Amino acid sequence: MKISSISKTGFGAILCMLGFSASAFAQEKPKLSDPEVAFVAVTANQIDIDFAGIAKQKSKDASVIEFANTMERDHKAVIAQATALAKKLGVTPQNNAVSKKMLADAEKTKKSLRSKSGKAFNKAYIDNEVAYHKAVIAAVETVLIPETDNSELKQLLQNVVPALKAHLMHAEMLQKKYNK
Amino acid sequence: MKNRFARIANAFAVSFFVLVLTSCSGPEKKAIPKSHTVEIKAMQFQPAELSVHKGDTVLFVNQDMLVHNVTEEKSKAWGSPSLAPGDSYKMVVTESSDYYCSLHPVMKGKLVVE
Repeated sequence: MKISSISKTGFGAILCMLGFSASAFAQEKPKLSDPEVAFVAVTANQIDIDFAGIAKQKSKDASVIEFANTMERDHKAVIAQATALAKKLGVTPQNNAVSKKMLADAEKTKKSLRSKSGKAFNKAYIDNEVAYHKAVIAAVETVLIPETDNSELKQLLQNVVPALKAHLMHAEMLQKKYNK
Repeated sequence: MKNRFARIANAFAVSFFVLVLTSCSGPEKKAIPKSHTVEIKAMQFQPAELSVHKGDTVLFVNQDMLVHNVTEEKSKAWGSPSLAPGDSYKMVVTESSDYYCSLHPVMKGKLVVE
């Protein structure tokens, strides 16, 4: 599988959008292969499932719990389809610096979410969902899709974008409620 | 006696003729119910607004990659079960209604009975 390169500027911008420090990566001008793109995609979905799990444990708000259930259901479905596609293509998703950084930063967010409760938790969870989906949409559209070589993997990523945008709109709808 | 019988027979014949005429040429003709399809794809109901006649059938087909449902929006008066990718739900339309996917509340549609 062809190794794809990502420009220093574009990659740094995406990492910033994802809330990551770009410095470690910008200097190295990192490259992502399709197996690495697949791993990043699965990781991004798993992180949001983990956030949803915390929301289901901590929130008593029906709207928040419903939203978390939807995030869990949808992102699990995407992982299942990505895994099935990888199996079909005979590709093993490869861990990489980007996914490692994403997981490390997600741990910090999870720690912060776990420290909150009640309305403060609901607000923090939904605010994070808005920011996270904005960042992931930008990353998928401007980095992962353009950098993917395999047409089926590219198509899967393209198919996911409308779902991510619907999740974002749903989160923004709830955000208005908690920012009143 | 014979004349009286003939008059009664004539009256019956005329009544029957009138009855047949009115039943055949009444102003209200019942429209034949039609079938319509709404596709669910890319997180949208397509078409988002559909004009139908009362008694028409609408088939909702989930061609998306995620589970969806079709739920009447105002009071949840009707709704489908969860529709996995490839599943469909058929309903007979009795009145205009706004509907949405309760799993993804930003997905909305409208049935307009003309």
